[in-house]
Amino acid sequence: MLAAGCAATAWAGDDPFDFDLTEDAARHGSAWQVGGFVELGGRYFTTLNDWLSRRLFAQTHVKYTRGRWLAFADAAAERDASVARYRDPLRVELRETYLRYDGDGFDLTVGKHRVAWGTADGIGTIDRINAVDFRDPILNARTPSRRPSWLVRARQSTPIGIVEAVWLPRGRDRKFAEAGSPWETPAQRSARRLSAVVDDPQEHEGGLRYLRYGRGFDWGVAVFDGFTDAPVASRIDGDVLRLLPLRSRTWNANAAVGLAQSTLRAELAYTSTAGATPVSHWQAVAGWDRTFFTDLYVNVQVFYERSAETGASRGGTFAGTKPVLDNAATLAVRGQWAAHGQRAVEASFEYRMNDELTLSVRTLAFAGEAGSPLGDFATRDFTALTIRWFY
Amino acid sequence: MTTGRLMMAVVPLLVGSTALAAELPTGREVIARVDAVDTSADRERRATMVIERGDQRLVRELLMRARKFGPDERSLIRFVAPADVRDTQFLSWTYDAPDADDDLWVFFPTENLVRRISGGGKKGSFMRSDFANEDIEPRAVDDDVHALIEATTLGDRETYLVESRPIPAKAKDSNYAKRRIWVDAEYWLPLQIEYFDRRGRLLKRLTQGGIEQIDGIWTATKLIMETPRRNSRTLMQYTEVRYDIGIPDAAFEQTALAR
Repeated sequence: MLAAGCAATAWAGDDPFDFDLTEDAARHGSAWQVGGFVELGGRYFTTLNDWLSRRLFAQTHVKYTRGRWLAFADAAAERDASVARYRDPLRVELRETYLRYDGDGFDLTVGKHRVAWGTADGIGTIDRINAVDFRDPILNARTPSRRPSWLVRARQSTPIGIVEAVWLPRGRDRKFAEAGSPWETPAQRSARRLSAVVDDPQEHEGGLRYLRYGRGFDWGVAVFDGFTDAPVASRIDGDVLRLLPLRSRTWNANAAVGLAQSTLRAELAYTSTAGATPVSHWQAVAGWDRTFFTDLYVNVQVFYERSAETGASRGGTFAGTKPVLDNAATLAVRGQWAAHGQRAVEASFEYRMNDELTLSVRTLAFAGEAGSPLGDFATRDFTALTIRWFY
Repeated sequence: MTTGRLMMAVVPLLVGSTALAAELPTGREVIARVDAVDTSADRERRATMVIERGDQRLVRELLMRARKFGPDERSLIRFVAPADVRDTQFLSWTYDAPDADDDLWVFFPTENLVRRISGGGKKGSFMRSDFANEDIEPRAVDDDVHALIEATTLGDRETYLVESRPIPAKAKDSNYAKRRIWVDAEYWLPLQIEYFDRRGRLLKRLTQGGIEQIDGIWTATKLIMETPRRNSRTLMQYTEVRYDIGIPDAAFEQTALAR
């Protein structure tokens, strides 16, 4: 029975409830969902006085649900006038595409998918299921951009937590900076002069995770066995110098604790990497985030890393966001610091003009010793202006 | 209006108010009756919000599911619109204990990431609307101290006016120093709530209507939240409301957080 009776409202005369919003919602009732955005944007290297990107970018997803099944596909097309010197200006990519079965407490996903593990922000010691996209590695000043992986994922919810297994039959979908790209590191450039090629092993990778969550406290343990994101070894094969990612295994324990206005996060990880000279290292991350006043959000994380081969290093990440202009806009600062003088900082302003249009401006600066990950981008400071139309 | 017609309008109200005043409940009893209106074990509904701010009209759509677990409640909110937040979800476990903090997790679809968050954001705006996050969440009866002010009328309805002030443990999580709640004496649903800040200034006014009996439960299906100082208001309408449909426990676990 939907409505057995309808009461008079408290309002005589002009009825303030004489409205019907269902027409605004009608278009969302289908089993099919199509959406995405079109983006017009430019990124300008402020230190090099050159365009990094002037692009028209479109991303579309289609979702279909029927009973316990879901099919999802997400594709992107980009035309960038600034990249013709090192790649085709037109690039079309399948991003995510997967089929999922949702049972009661059990789900199975097969396809190309993004899966994030761990509790820490910015520094994910176990966020290894998706490779960093080295063609355009900066998502923001504290987080690298990652690519979905072809995988099979199964999750079972039990009375004592969630058990999750992920298997990548051909490993992560690695993409490296093109020759001549602004994101090509000096080491890659030198190797390419020697006719080196990156030899992606495309061997299977996989991991297992147990997660327990509940009143005030989440914790979990995980292991991932795979390869390093970047090529870290080389092999001469006839006339060709092959650059090789190496097999590596990470053991991780993580936790997140809710404490009134704050959340504390921690991760501890041990990674061993095979090769002619096996190396191993420990990583520890501790983080704290909190909302101050009404909506000022602050997030700080510090990390410590120790390796018998390379010694100890420290660093951290930070982020702060504040809605302004009646919540129509958000001001944000983000960044990270690490050993060898590495620093990245970003300031951004995002303005939601209405439900469909968003305008954003951001500027990023990098620093660090040559040869360090961020130091290699020390001349790659850029400012970006983007307008997005969502549909 | 002539004096005679005015008397005809006022006298029945006075008589009604007098009858109401004969056996006045306490403020807590009134709010406990409000809390007991929804006798269902679980519920599901679709919410459409229209935010009217200046010449802007913003539309939001949500799917909301909730289930009681003994005295506690778990709820899942999935954003359907606007497009930039589609499929973002909030899972909350709220506890019927004044000293217990809620557990909250958010799901970001683009990263397929589930993340524990703190309740510190409760005072912030809910999706840019005139509702704050704390206005959307269930509130335990004893999160506030309630005082009955009077039995009165609102429009043509007999009501109890209750003033609710958060207990010290909850005050820091709230925008409001007090709320004045007009509770319908027949349906035991709030018809109007006024929200006041710590300086005693009126911040917002919520009015509820479109009252229907759905699956045997009296339900307000239309809400208007106004912020006079910002010349802004948000209309909310609940549709596809269903009670006791047997939503499984698993719908409120982390495995339920997916596109």
